[in-house]
Amino acid sequence: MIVLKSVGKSFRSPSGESVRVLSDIDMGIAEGEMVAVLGPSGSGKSTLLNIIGGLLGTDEGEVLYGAQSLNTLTKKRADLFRNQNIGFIFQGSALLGSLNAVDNVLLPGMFAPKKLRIKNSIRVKAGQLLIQLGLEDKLQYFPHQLSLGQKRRVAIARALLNDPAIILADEPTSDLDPPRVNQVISILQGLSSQGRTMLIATHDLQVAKAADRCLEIRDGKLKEI
Amino acid sequence: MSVIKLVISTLRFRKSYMLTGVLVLSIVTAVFYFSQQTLWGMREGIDKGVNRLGADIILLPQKMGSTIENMLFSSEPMNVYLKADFTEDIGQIKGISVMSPQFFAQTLNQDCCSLGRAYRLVGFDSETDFVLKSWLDQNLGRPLKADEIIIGAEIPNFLGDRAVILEEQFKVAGKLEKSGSDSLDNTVFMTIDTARRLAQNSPYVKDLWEDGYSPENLVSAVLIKIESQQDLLPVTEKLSKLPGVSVSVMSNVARQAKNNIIWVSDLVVIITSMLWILAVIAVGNHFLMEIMRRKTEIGVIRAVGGSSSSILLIFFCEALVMSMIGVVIGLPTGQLMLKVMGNWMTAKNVIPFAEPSVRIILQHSAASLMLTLGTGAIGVLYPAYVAVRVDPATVIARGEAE
Repeated sequence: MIVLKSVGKSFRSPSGESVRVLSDIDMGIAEGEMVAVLGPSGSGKSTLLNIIGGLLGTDEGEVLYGAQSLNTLTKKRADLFRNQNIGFIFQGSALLGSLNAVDNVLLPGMFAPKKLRIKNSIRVKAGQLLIQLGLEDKLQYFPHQLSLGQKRRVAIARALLNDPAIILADEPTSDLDPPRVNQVISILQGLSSQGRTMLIATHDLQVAKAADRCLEIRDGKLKEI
Repeated sequence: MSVIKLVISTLRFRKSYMLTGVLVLSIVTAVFYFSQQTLWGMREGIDKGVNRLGADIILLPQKMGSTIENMLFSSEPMNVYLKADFTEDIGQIKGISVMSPQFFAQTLNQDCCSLGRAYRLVGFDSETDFVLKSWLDQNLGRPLKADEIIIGAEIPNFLGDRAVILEEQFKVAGKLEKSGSDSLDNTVFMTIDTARRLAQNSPYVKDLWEDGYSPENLVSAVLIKIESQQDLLPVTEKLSKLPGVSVSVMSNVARQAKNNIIWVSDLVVIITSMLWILAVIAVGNHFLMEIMRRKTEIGVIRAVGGSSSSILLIFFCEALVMSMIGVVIGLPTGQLMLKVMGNWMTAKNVIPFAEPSVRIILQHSAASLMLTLGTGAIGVLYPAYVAVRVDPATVIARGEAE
């Protein structure tokens, strides 16, 4: 489903030097597969996720979704593609403080094409997602009123609103206590069993064990472990 | 959820951001509205003061305190007199269509009078008057009687339709409509004979003229209309030769009065322009700081599929909402500032000042609304451009949106 061909990415350091983060990455992820990407901090896990999610461009190489190359999409089409096909779960949850849980979940719906924005049904769906994730009594809570684990579940619900085929999760269990880690892992496994393709950047071996396949980035190269 | 709901939620959540923006934009509205109204009020005050009499030329005694500006632009008592003999000479001058004498006295803030302060009393000649003629024709349909007065729109209402002036009771025959000219709105009118008799008999105002003179033989001003095809210059030249008389040509008075206040107009325009530029910079800086704080939020919106135009729309809507609230607060504030300054200018006779009509208030309010919306839009332009250029991957990695 997702294919990366010879993808490379460099960044400029504060001193002006070019730092090679990813080099000649070739990989493929099948539909419904749950893949964990491991590696030390700064190894390029988040960069890889951002490239696959279309948030970062590549210096070289190509990202393909089926027959569609992400590199050839215009900005507008790339935004729409991301909105409809990719759900992000960020490391710090990244909820909007001004919105309550339901409205945070509704955020991707706001940017969906008009014909897909059926006001009432999408609000019901946002509520259902939060209920499924055990937040039935927190629907109107604002992020500052939620615990880290609850915020993470709101972020997961947000990633699922537009029924994306692909979920990209960056350290989804970081900062969580063990019971919450287990809860998040079981949610991710549940999503995988529903046929969603998942790529998870993590340090957490528990998450890695739950994945179908594990990859490791070291010195900019990707290898299967 | 819509962009508007997102914007309103953001503004409700980020109160200090909203309040600061609204404060700056309401100041813009208030200052611009106040400036427009002030400039209009000053210019219109001069025009109304000059034009409302309908005279081409006014003759006044050449004495201290008898300037044409005092007569036209203020309602303060103006007790200046000249022997009326010269009016016979005026009748000989060719080209004069109508000549109407007036006699001035004043009310007093004493037991003798119904009024709370000293107002100008103007006695007009019913036979030759052209200032009140049309009002009298329309409202009374007859000349004013000796025991009647007409009061300006700003004179406080008397009890019933009676008024006591200099210990004499008068019937209030009518109240003039508000003209915006202080000298008309704050004046009491009566026939010239009544005014002279009142002055003659009142112990309170007998010191106003020199010994040996009687009000019967005095005038305070002569209003002159010239024939329609007549050139002003030869008439004014002849009038200037009359002894003890100061000749004022109304068109020159208006021009001169406007020249006298041109520095005030320029100052108002310069200060308003500078304030506006500062406001645009302040609004721009305010939005820029906010966007720096909300980079992660912008990144999240981009990550979930929000386009560049969505980001632009969000910040322009925030600026629009703040501008609208700024207008709602700024307009009454500007009106209050205007009221305070208008009262002060009228009380101090600094500059003639006309109060604007509802139509003018609406026009200036609409212009202030447009300027405030423009200020918000221009102010947010560069910050919104910065917001669009935010790299979502970098900012999301750096911090929490909350």
